[in-house]
Amino acid sequence: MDGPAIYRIEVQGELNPGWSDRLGGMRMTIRRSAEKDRVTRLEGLLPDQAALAGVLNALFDLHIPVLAVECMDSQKT
Amino acid sequence: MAAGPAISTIIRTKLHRPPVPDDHIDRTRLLEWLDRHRRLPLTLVSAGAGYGKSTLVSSWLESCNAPSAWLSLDEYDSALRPFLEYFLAAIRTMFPDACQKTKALLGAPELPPYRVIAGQLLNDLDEIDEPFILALDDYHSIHETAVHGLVANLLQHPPRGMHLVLMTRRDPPLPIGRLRARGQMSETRAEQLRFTPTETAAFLRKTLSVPVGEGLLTILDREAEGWATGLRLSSLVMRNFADPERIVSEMRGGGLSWVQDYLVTEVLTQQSPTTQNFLIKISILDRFCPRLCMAVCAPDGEAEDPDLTSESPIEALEVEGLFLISLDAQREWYRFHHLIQHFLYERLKRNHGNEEIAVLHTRASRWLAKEGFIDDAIRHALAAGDAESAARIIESNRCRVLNSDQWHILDRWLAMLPGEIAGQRPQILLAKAWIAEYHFQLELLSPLLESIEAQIDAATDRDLLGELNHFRSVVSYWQGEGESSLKYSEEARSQLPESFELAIAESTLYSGLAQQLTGQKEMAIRNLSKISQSHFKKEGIMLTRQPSTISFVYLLGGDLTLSLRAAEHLEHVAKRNGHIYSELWGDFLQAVCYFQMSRMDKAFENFHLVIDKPYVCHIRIVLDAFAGLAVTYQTLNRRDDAERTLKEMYKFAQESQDPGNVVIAESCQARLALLRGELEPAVQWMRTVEDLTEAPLMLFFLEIPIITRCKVLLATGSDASLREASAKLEDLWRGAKALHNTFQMIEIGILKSLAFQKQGREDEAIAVLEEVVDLATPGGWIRPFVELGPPMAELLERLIERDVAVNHIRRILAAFRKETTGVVPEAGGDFIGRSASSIVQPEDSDLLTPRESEILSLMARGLKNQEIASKLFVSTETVKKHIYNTYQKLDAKNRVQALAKARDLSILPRP
Repeated sequence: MDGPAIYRIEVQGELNPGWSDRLGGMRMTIRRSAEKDRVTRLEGLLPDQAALAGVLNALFDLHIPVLAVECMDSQKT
Repeated sequence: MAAGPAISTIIRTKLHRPPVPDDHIDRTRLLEWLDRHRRLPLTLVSAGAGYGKSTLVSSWLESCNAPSAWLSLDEYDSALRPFLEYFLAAIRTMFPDACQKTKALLGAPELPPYRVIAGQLLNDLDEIDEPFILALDDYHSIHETAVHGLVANLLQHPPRGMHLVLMTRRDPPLPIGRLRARGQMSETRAEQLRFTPTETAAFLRKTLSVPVGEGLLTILDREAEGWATGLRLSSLVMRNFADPERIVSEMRGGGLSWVQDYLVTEVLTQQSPTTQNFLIKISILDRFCPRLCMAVCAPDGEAEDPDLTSESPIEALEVEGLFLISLDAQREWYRFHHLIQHFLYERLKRNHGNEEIAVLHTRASRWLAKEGFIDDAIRHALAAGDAESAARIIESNRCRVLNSDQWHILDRWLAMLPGEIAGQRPQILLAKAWIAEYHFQLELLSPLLESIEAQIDAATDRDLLGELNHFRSVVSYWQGEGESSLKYSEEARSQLPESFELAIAESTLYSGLAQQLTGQKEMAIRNLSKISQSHFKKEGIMLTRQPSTISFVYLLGGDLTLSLRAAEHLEHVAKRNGHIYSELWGDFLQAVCYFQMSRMDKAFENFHLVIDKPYVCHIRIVLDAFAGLAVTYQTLNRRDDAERTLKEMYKFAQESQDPGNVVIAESCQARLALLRGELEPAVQWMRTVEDLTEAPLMLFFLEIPIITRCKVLLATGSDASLREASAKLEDLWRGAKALHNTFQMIEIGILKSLAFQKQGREDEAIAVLEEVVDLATPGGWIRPFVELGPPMAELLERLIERDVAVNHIRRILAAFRKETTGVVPEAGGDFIGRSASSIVQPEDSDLLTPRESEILSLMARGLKNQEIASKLFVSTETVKKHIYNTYQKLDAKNRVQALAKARDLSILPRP
């Protein structure tokens, strides 16, 4: 279970792209949903769950609400 | 002072590298891997709990030949200051003298921004010549952005010798991607930390006497997934079971968390009920020693469980390897493995009600408070839901930490208390008032005093009344009310208990200052000196408070020589006792005295000492040191250095985010413009600032915007501006006089005299100047006269004609002549530091004549031939002739070349 995998995380609001480096280097895209709330989507390959926990924790410490976490493609070798 | 255990800022056990357990097997592949990467700035060890991160790094450091240090972090040290304290303490276990300057920052009332700390820390760490390893365990406990920022800064410009090892359960919010891309870090993760089947076999062989079959190994490897804790638990369980296969089959398919719960339950049920009960109860403790355990489980020697003997079962447990981690070399303090503590605590919550658990916390809190572990004691009291006890613990320790100058500890304790309890307890409010006084947040004092007054019972709380009166005296003093300040401070000292040394010292300081304010300078000095004799042998706070107050009082009274002597003593005493904060105060006071005596070499040296550590002293003092230094440079015709100093001052002022400080920096800029004879920028400044209000006390500040404004008004010279200046100066003069502030009376009086002169009111000008010279002569004041240039010189000449203070005025006039030719006023003074070689001494140059040197230095200031001519009272032709000769001697074709060559030959300072 604990191998590298591509994760997708969605958070509420617009995230500063400068933070990418401190969020496991995940790629950021900002999209506007039907309502006026903006959502930032973080996508990228993380080495394991410790890295995923690191990203989620960093978001928590930044007071950024997490909307969804999804494991896209487990590449366990 | 009441006897009691010392309160240490640093809990040494956090710096203790956890010992490698006996059943540890060498994991060569990982050790070699760590070794291979130790030249990189960072190794990240990131994996969930129980993967053996600490054990691996600890065993690596044990085998490493480089110096190494360990720091176990926890959430309580998560803020910047405690993190930094521990970080430095860890570094200093390897290099006891390292990081002095960063350590000095911690002595300051306010920490500078983390970027500034990082810069200083980088420099300090970079000075360490040999390679070293610093291991930070449990880095995931850090939540403070500033700490991550500090660490990120360190990694961005890694110090030469440092290899940082971060052990963490999840990836830290550091720029890992960048470091990875640059090849500046290595990482080991769960994937690598997992026990391989071979390692699993080796481990089980070592820990079990029973041989382990292939089949069992395979299952174990699959179920425990090479998870170190799972393996250790399995081996513990299997040791006591005849049939290991049964255990493994129980574990099959359960997943890690189920396996863990199952195994820990098994391990626990193998213990006697007494031991089980004991373990569950002490799970409330993050760290424990046998005596603390007994205090929790068997208070007053009465065990609730009769089987629990006075010898706590810890020793036996350690032998059994039950996940106790030893925290010190003496094997006194332990903690549980995090997973085990968590498991046991869940059991505690399941088996015992909240009230029972609260009782355990209360017992722990009592013991910890008695033994001086105040932070932990407060935390357990709060965990017991007993905020009152927490407050009482702070109350009974607050004087002690204040007596030993550990303000920030008290600050930290107060922050732990819930707001509602703090507002109801006068002692807690008093503690807050001390913190406010320390941070110089005087605006917080008055509301605090009101709440305290409402709650103190004058009949019974005599000691507290003493503190209250002290704060009343502080508030009165800063409002410029000397009489009432004096009255309160006298009451305070008759009420304060002798053991509260800090309060007595502070109150004595204020009584001295208040006596000065009411014109009783001699009395102030006499009383202060008396105190020094009775306290002198103690290595207490009085040692620095006493000379600093004496120096203050003399300085405000205008007596530069005696103030200087007290300041030198202050610096000496502070240095000997390692009080960096007081030492810099000593440097600053000396600088001010030298500055006013126009001994610019010494002023320069001492101002620099303050500025080199800009975040230790109060901001106002540092700003004044910048201002003093900028003016000193300008006086020495070093315009570029003056500009550079001003820029730094401006940056520093902006950083403070207090607009008042920026006004001071801008005011200093206008003053420099005036010194250069550039009126326009000064007038510009005056137009942009509005509403300059001065504090009731101007103390011995060097840069006071309202006074600089008056200088600009005088320089513009229109009737209206002269009238405005006169009126303002008269106000200021009266204010300073009422407070017996001779220091500012001299500064203001000179301007007042000049204002009269410019208005054609000669007699009044002379009369005022005579009064000022009277004040200035005994103290040896020169500088403020010289700053006002030739018109002041003329006025002074007039006083000589009238036979007033002839000798001193001659000294002032001599300083005038030296300054206007751009020569260092005091012969033989050595400049320190980087500027030592670049001081101009034109007369000493063999190559050029004094006149040629003089002209050259005026050229360097950008003056045109005609301006030089009028300044030296010679014709333009003569200037040209001198310049021609100078070009010949320097083999130069033009101005630019001549100046460049003169700088190369050290005839002129380098820009």
